[in-house]
Amino acid sequence: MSPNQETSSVIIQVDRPGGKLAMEAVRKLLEGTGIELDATYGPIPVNLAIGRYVVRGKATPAARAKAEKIPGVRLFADARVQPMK
Amino acid sequence: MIRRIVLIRKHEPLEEGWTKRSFSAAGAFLDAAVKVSGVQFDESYHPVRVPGRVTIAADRPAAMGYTYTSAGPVTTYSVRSEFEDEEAVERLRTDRRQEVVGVYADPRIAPFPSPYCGSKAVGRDSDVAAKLGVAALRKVGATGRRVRVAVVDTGIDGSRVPVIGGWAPYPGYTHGTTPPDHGTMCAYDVRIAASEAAILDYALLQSSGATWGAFLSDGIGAFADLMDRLQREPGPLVVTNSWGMFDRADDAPIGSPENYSANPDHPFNQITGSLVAAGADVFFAAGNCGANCPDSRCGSGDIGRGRSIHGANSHPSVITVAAVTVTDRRLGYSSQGPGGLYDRKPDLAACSHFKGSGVYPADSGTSAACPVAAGVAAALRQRVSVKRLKPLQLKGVLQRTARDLEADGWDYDLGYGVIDAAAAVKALHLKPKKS
Repeated sequence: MSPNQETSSVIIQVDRPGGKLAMEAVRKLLEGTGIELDATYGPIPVNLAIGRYVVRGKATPAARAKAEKIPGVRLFADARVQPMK
Repeated sequence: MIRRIVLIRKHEPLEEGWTKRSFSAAGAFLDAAVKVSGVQFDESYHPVRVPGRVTIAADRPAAMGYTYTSAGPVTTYSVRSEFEDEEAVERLRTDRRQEVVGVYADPRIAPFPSPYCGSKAVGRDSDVAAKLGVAALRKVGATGRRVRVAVVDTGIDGSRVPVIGGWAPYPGYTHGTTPPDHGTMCAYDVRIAASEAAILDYALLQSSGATWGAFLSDGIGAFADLMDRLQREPGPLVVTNSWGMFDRADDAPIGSPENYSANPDHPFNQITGSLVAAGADVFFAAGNCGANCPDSRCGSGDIGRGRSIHGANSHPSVITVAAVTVTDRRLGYSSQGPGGLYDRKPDLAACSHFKGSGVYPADSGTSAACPVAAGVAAALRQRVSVKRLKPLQLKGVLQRTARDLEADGWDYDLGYGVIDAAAAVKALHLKPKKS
């Protein structure tokens, strides 16, 4: 696999105002992008007032580029955090 | 007695006292011409010549009818005095108006101690309680009773610190079943100020090999659950977070739309703001990447001023906690502002590096300082509802009442100063509860 095809963890934010967002709907939305969704996570509401949810998964740069073209979808770093000890 | 510096106009005996570095040369003059009742001159302090600020340039435009060319520098002399009371100060000012230029405060000054970088514990939890002013909290019946404190950390040993519930990023975790480690230390430290707080075990950070860690996506899960909890069971909720990102190499670069450390749009930063808006008092450790003795996990570009408080740890709505010893020395590993999301970080400091929980030789890091500060908020919340005082207002009270160690109002090392529960009790006008 070439370096630019390396996968990394991403948080995927999906804006879908009005109604609850199901995992199946997210899967459908991201179909064909190549993003591997984590089936055990989400969708988690981060702001219900505007219908904003997140899921997480693994994505190659190519998959990211495709996903970011979908209206209402944004990708963010899923950085590692540790105790302040 | 009140100590003051008195500035007096020029007189020959004062100049002589200054030249000879002797009070006695000026003593008779001071007694005869300056002294009023209730004032005692300090004979161990000779008059000191204080050159005035008034210097008039010869070519300065003069007012009509007066020539300034003869006006030169003003020389005054300071003497140190003890006053019986404020009335004596006023008496000197008015009755000796001809001689006295002014009366000024003479506050105690001391060298700023160097940051502490030792490994040995400094003091113990009882010293922290004394320093915080926990006695003042107890006097008004503030123990944190019926206040929930979510310790978002590695998990808690419930046999050491009882817990009432919790959450974990994976199914099957029973709250309170983590062997004593970082989370147990944090829970213990909350109870220094809030001995009766109801502890929630949010076991976000999971063990992998020899290290504890998690991803921000897990943090979103934890905070979403807390928001849910607040909605289901309204009431006071304090959230303490002694974790963060040590190395921005783990993050998307600043400027990238995916970035976390300096991007308010990152979902974890968004949900952090939402949790505070929903009524939770949220505390974050500043971090352990201070310039003097940073943690070995800090990225090479993530140490010191302006490079060590990232993401939600620097969120404008949270209370970002730096660390000091019980002897008021800044801990050299305590991260320094400005923060990635908000410039004026940290907000305040609390004690750390003391002998406390027994989990480690010292409860250390901004990890221990954060729950110590959160405990103060939890104790206060027993008496002050969110309806009466919103989280950002409580934050304001804690900032305003903090002990300012560096006497500069606010700084990038310790924010407004060291959290002071007794001063907060006073500022909130809390009275002892009738039994």
